[in-house]
Amino acid sequence: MRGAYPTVSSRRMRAHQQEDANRPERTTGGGTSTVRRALVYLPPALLTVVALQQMVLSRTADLVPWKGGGFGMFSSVDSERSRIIRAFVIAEGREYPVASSIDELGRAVPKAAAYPTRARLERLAERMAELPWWLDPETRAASPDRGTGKPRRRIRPTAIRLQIFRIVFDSASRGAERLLLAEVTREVP
Amino acid sequence: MTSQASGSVAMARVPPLERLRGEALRFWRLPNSLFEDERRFELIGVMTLLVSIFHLVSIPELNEVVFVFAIAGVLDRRLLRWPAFWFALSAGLIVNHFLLWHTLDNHKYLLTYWCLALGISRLQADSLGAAALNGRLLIGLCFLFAAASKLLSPEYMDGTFFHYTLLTDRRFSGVSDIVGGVTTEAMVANGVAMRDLARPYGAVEHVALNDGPRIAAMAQVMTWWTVVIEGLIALLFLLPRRLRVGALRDAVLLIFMFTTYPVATVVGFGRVLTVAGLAQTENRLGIERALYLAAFVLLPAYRFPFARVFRWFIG
Repeated sequence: MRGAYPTVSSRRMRAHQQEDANRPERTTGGGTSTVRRALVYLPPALLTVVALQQMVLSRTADLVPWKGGGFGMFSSVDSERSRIIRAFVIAEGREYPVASSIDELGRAVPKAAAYPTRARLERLAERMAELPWWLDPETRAASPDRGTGKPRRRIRPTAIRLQIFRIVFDSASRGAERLLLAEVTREVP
Repeated sequence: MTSQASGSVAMARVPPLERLRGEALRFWRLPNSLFEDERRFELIGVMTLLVSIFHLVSIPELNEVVFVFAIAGVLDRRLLRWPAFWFALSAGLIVNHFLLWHTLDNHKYLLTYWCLALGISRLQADSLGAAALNGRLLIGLCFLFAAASKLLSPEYMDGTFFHYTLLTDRRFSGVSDIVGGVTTEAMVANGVAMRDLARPYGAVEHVALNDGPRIAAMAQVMTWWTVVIEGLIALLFLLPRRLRVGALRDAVLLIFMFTTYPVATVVGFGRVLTVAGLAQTENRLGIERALYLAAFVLLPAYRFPFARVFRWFIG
């Protein structure tokens, strides 16, 4: 009765395995052009270029190691979620912290935190300077939102200051703290 | 007695074990029929589209476009044979990378390269061979850069990264609790401390985290295990095919997936790896394709809080 049931190493499966094993490394047929053959290597080439660029930028320009296609995830405490951005509106000779998440600037803020180049931070500060700023008299915090509750006073910034921090951890003392990565103060003309 | 009747009598005489074996083999043939050459590209294509649908992070408008596109490909498999279909999908994903590079995880990049590779492979005379070559190289390079990033990072190599992660990352809380000895209360307190530290204008400049008795040793083991297995995968996948390390290559990648993702559940990454793994495998032992397919299906099960259930069970 044994023959009535299929066996694991059926002839068909063996044939497939043989076919796979015999498949040549070369991936093209006879009439294919050289360009088409070379195209096969485009995705690995792109991966290599992007990853090398990310590795260089994360070591030289504080690009967060987890992002940017360099496969640096799970290699550093410094992830995009642990980056901290501090912004101050300088007006009337005083410095007021920005209290809200500044939704008006969209993705510019998290991008500046993830890759805080001087040019990027200055552009962000310029865009912030263009917003209308209101001062909460109670918290002494500046916000681009006029608010609906207590009356807020309009302030005109003379400069915007931005600071980007990362988290560092000391394994021996189990202590975590902030480390300043970049700082920019942009005067408002 | 008719031949049908004699057949039934013969079946009735089959020992139960033999019958069970026959049923198991019939069941085994089911997924294997999907691996035949013509259907395999379709299977790989559909799996890729499912990853795009379930694991895409993008701006809302693009999300909808990719969703519709991917559903169309799943429903009409002829689309999977058009290079233009894959190039259009890749173009959408590339636009997404430019817009959201600061939030996209690395496996989203891998998925984009993979979609591009599938389009290019359809331009080749041997599409499956081209997809296999890309699967092998993309996995190898991804792990090469992952291992290199770790080797070049002092805070990784001295165990600091895993020490910090085991004390603060909720994805690791189960293993930190059961193996490392960090209580749930300590983990929650660490989370609160880190949130205080991360407040932009908060007065807290430094926090000391609660530790566990075995966390430092665990961090060392995880540090070395990860970098060794990632380096090994990179080496095996980048070695030329003539060295015939196909079976070993699949074994190490599958070990990586079955040991890493229960702890650090990154289902999207795991699934991209299973699709590329399935495409490149030489199936030397005859079970690798089925294992990759099973891993693809079962990966979300790792999200089940096994550690919490285990902790509850042992009190």
